[in-house]
Amino acid sequence: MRFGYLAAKFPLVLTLAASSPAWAQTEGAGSVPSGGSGAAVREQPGSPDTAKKPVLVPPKLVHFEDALYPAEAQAAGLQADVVLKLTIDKDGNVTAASPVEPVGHGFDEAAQKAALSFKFEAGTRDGKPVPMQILYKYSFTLKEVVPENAPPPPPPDTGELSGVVRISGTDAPLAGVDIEVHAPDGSTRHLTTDAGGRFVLAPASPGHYQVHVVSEGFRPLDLKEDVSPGEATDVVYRVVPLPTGLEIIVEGERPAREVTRRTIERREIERIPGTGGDALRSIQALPGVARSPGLFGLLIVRGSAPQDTNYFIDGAITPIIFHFGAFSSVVPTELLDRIDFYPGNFSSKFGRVQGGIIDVGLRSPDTRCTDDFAKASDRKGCYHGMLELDLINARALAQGPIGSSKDWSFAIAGRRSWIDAWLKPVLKSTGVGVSTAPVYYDYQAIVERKHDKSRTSFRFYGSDDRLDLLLTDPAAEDPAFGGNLTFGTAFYRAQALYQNELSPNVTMDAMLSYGKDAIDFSLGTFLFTLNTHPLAGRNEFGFRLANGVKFHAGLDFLVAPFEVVVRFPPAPRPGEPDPGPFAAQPARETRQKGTVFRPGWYGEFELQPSSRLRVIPGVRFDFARDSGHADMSPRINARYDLIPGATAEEQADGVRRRRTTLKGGAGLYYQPPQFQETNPVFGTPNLLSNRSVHYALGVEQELLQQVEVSLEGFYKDLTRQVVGAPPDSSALYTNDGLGSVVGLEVLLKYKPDKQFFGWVAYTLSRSVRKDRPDAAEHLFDFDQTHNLTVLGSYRLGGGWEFGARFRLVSGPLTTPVVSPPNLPALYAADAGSYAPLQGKQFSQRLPLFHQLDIRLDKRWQFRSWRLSAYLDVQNAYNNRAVEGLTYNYNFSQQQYQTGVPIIPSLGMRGEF
Amino acid sequence: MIPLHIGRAVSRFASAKNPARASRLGSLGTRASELALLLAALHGLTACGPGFEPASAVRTLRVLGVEKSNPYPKPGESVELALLWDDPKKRDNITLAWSPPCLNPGSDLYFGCFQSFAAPSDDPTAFVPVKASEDSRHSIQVPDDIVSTHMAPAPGQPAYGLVYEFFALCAGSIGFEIPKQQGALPLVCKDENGNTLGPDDFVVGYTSLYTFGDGAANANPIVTGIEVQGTPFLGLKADPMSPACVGPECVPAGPLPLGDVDCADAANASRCFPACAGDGASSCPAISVRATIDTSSAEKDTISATYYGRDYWEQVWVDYYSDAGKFDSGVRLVNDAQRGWNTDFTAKFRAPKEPGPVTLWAVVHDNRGGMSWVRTQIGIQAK
Repeated sequence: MRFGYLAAKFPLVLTLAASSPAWAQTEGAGSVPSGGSGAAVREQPGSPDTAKKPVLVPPKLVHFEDALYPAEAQAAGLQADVVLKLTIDKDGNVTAASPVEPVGHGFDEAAQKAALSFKFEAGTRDGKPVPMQILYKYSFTLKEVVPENAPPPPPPDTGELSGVVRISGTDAPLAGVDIEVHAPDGSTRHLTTDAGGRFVLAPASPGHYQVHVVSEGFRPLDLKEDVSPGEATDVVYRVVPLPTGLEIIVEGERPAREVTRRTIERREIERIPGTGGDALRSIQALPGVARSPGLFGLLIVRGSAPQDTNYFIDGAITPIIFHFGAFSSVVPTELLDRIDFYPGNFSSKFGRVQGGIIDVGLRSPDTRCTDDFAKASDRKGCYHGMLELDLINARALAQGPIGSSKDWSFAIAGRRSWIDAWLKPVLKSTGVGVSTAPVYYDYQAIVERKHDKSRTSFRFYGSDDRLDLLLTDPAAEDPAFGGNLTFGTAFYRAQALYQNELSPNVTMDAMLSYGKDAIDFSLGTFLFTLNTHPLAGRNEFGFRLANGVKFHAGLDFLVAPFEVVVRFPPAPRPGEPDPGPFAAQPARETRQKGTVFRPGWYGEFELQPSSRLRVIPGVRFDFARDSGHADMSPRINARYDLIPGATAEEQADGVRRRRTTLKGGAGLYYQPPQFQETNPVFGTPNLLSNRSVHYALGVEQELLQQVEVSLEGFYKDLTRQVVGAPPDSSALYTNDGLGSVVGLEVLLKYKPDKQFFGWVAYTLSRSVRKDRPDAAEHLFDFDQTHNLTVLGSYRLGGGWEFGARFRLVSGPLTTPVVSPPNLPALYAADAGSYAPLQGKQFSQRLPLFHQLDIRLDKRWQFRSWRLSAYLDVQNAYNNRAVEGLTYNYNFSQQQYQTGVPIIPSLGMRGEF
Repeated sequence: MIPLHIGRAVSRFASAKNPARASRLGSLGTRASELALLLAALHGLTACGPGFEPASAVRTLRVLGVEKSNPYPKPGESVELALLWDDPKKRDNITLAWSPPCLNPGSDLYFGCFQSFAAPSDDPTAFVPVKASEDSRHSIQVPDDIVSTHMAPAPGQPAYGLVYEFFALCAGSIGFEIPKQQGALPLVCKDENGNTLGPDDFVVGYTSLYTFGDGAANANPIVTGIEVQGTPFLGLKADPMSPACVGPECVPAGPLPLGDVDCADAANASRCFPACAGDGASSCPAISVRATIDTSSAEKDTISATYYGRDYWEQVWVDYYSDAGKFDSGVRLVNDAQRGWNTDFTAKFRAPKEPGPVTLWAVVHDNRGGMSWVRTQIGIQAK
């Protein structure tokens, strides 16, 4: 077999359809990084732009031009794919064509030359022709020479099956498509489309044929054809590109209402090593988020305590966001539409918290059909499912339309861990009595209606974690940590969302949720149970008052009847020395019933005096009936495009101006005291809210089309912080605490393209506290001076992808015990153990943390479904990172306590 | 948000500032869920560092407990305290000093008493050392107004008073020095050459006495002996309140006075075990050791029943100690507050490689300050 002559007809392949918003550039992007591959062009629910959501129609190819096969390449028998970025003007002319990644051997020039002669029907936005950029893949392939001694013509009792495969929407022919043909006699033939997208099966026995069309990046087709004797059956198949623009957006702050915006696409989330493809765990790779030690999923945002960051699901507060062990979050990534992550200076929309906000949005069910030919009465191809198994858990998802309705859709999902399967024998081997080994599950159900400009969504979701053990070997350090150990945490929410454009100038965004939170914790003689039924609501109206002037007004509330039982010795208070073992301290018990009522009102202007400046002043009022105090929080954020980015028209004209944006903000934030701090038994009633003032100032700079850097400095001034009162005080807590956090965040990001994504995130910060105005300043528990994350992932081809993440972080802080010649500890005779004598709080920095995580993915595309497998290895070189100090029984000796060893995780996932 | 904050209330409690607990919890526990999971998953896996002697190995000067004649005394009552201690080096210069009682310190915290250590010269009776081998007991008088002078109880909580009693055990002489380190004690222990001695030769500790306004009582656990490899050694119950019981050689009347066990004597066969080349390693044959504890030791927690309407029982555990060889796990649960009696509180003892006598202790605690102890001796013979 030899290759005799070139196939000068080469196909034009739209690798990522222009209909995918991630690949379409629109005009008037302003300071919002909406252009370029991987940038988000996505309207935010509730944002003022929702009312003007554009309808984008990609350009359609109307004239195709052949290219010459480069002679040098032909002689060498070379083939190649050239991916071109085409700029198409409002008239459908190709004004620029450049290879995304040159392949050489003359292919690039040949493809460019031909593409410049293409003619398109121009893409439109809201029906109006606009310039656009799209990607094309030009494939150069060699045709097999038909030998001279070819078989004789088929006898007249056979037929022929032939056809062409085109891309739906543009009708561009598609080369290299695998065609699997099942003949009537049971045999199977495998064909591949040529440069013109054609395939031929000849001779073909008469009868019924089953044809499967499979091509990576497109939805597969499954068809039936008939072949008659002496006839040629010629067909045209159109394949639909897979949705690649779908993304989850993790935002620093929304562009319209806050200071900055950062995005992590779905592809990034699923491929970041060390996160197991969990969207919420990927947040920990962003600047401003400190490393969470070991297996903990704590979110330590800009030097604030974990409890200073609140979690919401579409505006409804949730008690937990991670299952225990932080193996996974309580909402599967597949059901997430967005993650709004606000590390600081967030909008007046949110209150009652002084650290950060994570607001997770559940997605609308996926009802897209797998091909063009799905009948309305059939719709089989419009249902989708997913099943994933790994060493930690299993999860499943099903979604699609409800009946024949075009408006109604559903999604249902669930997950269960099977840690219990392998942890139970481990625990038993250590002498632990196991009634219920650690297990967790979560579930979600969504029914949604989208009609015209409104969206109504009903959800029911929840989570459950529990274990039940008998620790027959109490801890030698404190025998209170022994005996019966039960733990259960569960919540569910029934939630309704309604979003609508009431008029061209008025939008409405409403949410109401009702559910249950339950915590059941018991250890020996200690006990904590909580049952509450929170009713939460949020309603916001947006008004366009004038050109460049918008106003948002809203309210939110929480009404939570609760019953809580707490049985503990008095908890150690912030700033106090070690209180000694709990083992022989009498427990206090309190049982309370009541109703929490916390309403909040806010108003916010969105002023845009010019296309380059946006200013958002706002104010918020909060009241907490449990503390009896009200707080008012004025805030302001602004962005200014020092150098505006090039518009699409300008880019089409060859303008290469890189955007430079200045941004800043300041605001007041309050956080009510925690429950135990104002409880009459365990705390001091009538404490004031913690207060924090956030300042931020930064700059964003586009460096290259795919590369952007952002720098942001921040400062937080903490006052009225709740701290433990001095031992001789009649109160247990006071508002005398002070503190500050100062830092700089840097994000250098290569935005995702066909092959690669990655970023470098670095945070420099210092977080300090003072327990009283006259007390010495000390570092905060979770202070991390340096935090560097470098990650990237590269598609190797053939369905393989490899990624790595490296982290270098300042070591954790610890409070040292008194060193020789002084005694390090006192013997607490009633417990039979020791109480350490501690030095200055958090004054000892443990060694630097560093860790490499790697991930390898492989995907197989079958006729009607996809199978993927991954190997995610945390701590690939098994660095025994120091997480703390461990001591001998009397604290006279110490050694490092190391964190998790190498953890490989293998998972498989099938989806259709 | 109440649920969130309540959940984090647990977390703050769980995020023990105590490095001991913190080390057990990975220094990281800040959420109840993490506490629970770690207690479960790390139990027995990271409880003690691989390079440390376990607490059950008595190799230096140690205090193993303080037994009180009445753990919950009434106002005005006199309470006898007896220190259980041991010095493997058998030195005769061990001194013991008891502090004046510290009454109702701020926030009930033991370190609220430290200021009283700073001026010993004001009270000539404070920390007066005695020879520990001659008298390891101490008597204190609970003031009549111990309850009324305590800060008023929080709503729904019982009224009580609290006395802390500190002690210092030193293989030399006890003195006072203003410490240079933050958090250090002003007490020092020096040898005859004036050298400051460390924790191997100096132990300072405390015990507490709670007095409840409603007269709540608590009795010490009842321990009657030790079974070693299934053989009961009865009559070893120590009675530290007996005038005859003094110092580490405190041995109440019984059939098996401490002394070197003669394994050549066939009568001692049940008390003799072969040495192990592994020197206490877990690969050595396990010798079961079990304290004989009366089930009535687990009393009903009357405070819980009276004030909280909850039928809880005492949490009871036993600490095993040995002066040679090692226990796999030196702390075993005897009674759980909710699940009740745990029938399996046997500990596994691994023999040392050196032949000779080995002393075993079983110190039984309840979580209300009650304590009783017993000890015996076994012989280790060459293989």
